[in-house]
Amino acid sequence: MIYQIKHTNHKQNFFGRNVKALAVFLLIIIVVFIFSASNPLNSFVTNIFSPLLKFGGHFYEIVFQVPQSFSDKNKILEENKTLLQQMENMRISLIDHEFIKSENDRLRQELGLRPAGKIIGAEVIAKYPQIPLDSLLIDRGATDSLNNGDLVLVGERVLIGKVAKVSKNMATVVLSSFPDVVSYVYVERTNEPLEIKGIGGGSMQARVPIDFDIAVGDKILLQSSRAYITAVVGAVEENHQSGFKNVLMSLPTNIAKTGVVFIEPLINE
Amino acid sequence: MYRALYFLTIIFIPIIFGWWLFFPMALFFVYLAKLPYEVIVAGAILDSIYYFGDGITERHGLAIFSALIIIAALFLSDRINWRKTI
Repeated sequence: MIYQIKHTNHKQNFFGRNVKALAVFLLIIIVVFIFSASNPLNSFVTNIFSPLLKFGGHFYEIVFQVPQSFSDKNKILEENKTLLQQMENMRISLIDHEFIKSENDRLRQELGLRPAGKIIGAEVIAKYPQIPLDSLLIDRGATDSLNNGDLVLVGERVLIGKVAKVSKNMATVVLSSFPDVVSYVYVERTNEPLEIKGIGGGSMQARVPIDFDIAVGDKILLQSSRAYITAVVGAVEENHQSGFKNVLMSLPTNIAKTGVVFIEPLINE
Repeated sequence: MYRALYFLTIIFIPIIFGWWLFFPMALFFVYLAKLPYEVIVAGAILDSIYYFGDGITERHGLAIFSALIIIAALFLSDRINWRKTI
């Protein structure tokens, strides 16, 4: 008996076999593209997840407080004494500050200068390790008239970064130390201009000629409507072969302990 | 049902405990389920919350990572015996 061999076409190409899977994949990509392009949709999603971000923030606060519960009693007493002393010093500084501020306002008025811009306070709802390093999420957004590029301060003169992404009720702050963020600043002691670049982890660097006058501890200022402290020089590495020195700087404040920030709207004059 | 639950988990866990958790969870999702396209949507949602930079790859980093692992899974789908745990 002779049997005829029937050839079946099992060997289809890859795309022939996975048409359905590829179609679903492309559909998902299109949905994602539409989602990314729609700002209101982005804001809506960000707002939905803001309670989760706050919950995460509280979780890390509790976690970081656990080691303090196991500290020595004598150490706590000593710490308490130091803190009381610091509080007294701060109280005196505050009185001085208030006096200088009122004098500054009076002088501004007499000279006919524009008053300092309106400052908006905001609570930090998420920071590292919840979100990427050198960024913060704050609880103010487009409804509070925040815009990209607004300055973010932690005190009256300490600048930590700028607003980079604004949704309806939330905004992302990019710190001056965010990788590749460039700031044009000057050295307070010498008034020499400087270009600094963020390198991540709360640090910034600048490459300057070897005869550039800069030393450890120098304050770096950014000139806006007022002068703000942007960085403090932490190390200077000289390279005689290249004729340049590498200046390493850090943010003037500890971001891990920052709970409230102030936003100064960018004024386009 | 389990896929839907894992989809929600892959969004909630990185938001609460840390953005980087998305990477191991996405890889684990690909290991557990056959061609989990949901992971791309989760990546896009997380991209809208975090800021990594202004370039295309930075703005859509997590969605691109998810798409790449799905493509890799698609190519490998008939080469390996998929577990289909969920």
